[in-house]
Amino acid sequence: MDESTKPPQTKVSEYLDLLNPSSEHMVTFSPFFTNQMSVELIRSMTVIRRARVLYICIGRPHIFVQKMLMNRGINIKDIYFMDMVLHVCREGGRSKAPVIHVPDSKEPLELPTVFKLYRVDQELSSLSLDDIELMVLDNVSELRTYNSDQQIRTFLGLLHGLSQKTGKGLILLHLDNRPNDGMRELAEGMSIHTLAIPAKAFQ
Amino acid sequence: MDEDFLRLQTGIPGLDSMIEGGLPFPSTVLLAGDSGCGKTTFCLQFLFDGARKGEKGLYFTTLSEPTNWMLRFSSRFNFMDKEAIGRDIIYFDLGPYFRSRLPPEDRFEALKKAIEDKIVEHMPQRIVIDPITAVAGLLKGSYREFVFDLSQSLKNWQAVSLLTGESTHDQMNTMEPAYTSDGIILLYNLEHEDGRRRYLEVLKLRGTDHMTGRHLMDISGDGISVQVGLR
Repeated sequence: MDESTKPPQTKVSEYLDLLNPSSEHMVTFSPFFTNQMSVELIRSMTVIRRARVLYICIGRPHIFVQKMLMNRGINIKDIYFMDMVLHVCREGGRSKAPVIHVPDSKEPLELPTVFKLYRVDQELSSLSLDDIELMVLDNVSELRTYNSDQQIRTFLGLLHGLSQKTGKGLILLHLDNRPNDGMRELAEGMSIHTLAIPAKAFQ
Repeated sequence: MDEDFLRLQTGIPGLDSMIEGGLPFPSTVLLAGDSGCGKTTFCLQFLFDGARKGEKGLYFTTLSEPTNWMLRFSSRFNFMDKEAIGRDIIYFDLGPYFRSRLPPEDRFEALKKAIEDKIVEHMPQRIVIDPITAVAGLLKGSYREFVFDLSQSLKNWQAVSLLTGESTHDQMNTMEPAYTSDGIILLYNLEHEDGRRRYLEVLKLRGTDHMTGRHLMDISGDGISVQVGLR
């Protein structure tokens, strides 16, 4: 079928079909459907596309996402969860930068936030990105609670750089309740593809 | 208004203008008042408003009231949409957990799991537990811990939850859910010389510059509406 004659997307799954797991995307959607988005995105990426995913939870503990996936028979064995919620800390009033170690590099990726990034499912002291094809950040809007615009810019720049350097896909989830937060423009400035999913697609 | 603070409209005319546009999302809110003051009507109106917007609602009853009774009593309201029941609004009876012979500590876990399983299954934006105070008799000494656990857990499920309780303003300090809730809305049905009048008062709502004091409330065929500013 010719692109121009394809019917417009109506369901979330149809929108998610537009994403390329080896590319970089910012997906904007209604904050009232974060649970539905987590499930549909992981289903699309792991069950349909067979991608191995690093899922970084910012807005809520990862265990809640895991339970929804297990309830729907989605195998979570190949999904690496990072939980930035359970370990929010500010030691001595100074930000403690958590790290993701990039293989073959002495330089860790530092996340310039007050969060302490914590590996919940692995015993190793650093995460090997060799096993991962796609990183999902759920979600950039929650970063606003604890970080300045500049910190968020730096953080997303680092993730973008990591994605470019290692060839991993990157999906940034973004809530649409604050349309002028500059996140879409920031993503577009980094040549990250943007996709907006309307609330009716979840209904 | 803090635009970073996400709000869910209640569907109760007048109320949203008192609370900066709606209840914080996610949050847990205690809806308290005497018998007959409109708590269940409030909850149903809240759920049907969500259903109209494509949101899912979960209604947990602790009274074992059959679905058809609830439907019969609420069918007189214009907001009622029978098609939404079972599709957008799921009604779940927690009554069997009250009649079980499990010891209180096992009931605690069973009740928590039953609630969580339904939430995981339906992923609702709106949740009602009506009335939460009935759980006190069931769990006895574990009630406080249960309410604390539940309040924290409900917020992480990304929903606005209404927990109802039979209580007056004076009894608020002894109500467990009052400590752990993000908000408290009180409904009154007070006797005056010319008869009874209903009122609504927002006693507490975290992160919200809400209006204070009692405001006149009406229940008609359209459901509950608040006459903001009328005392």
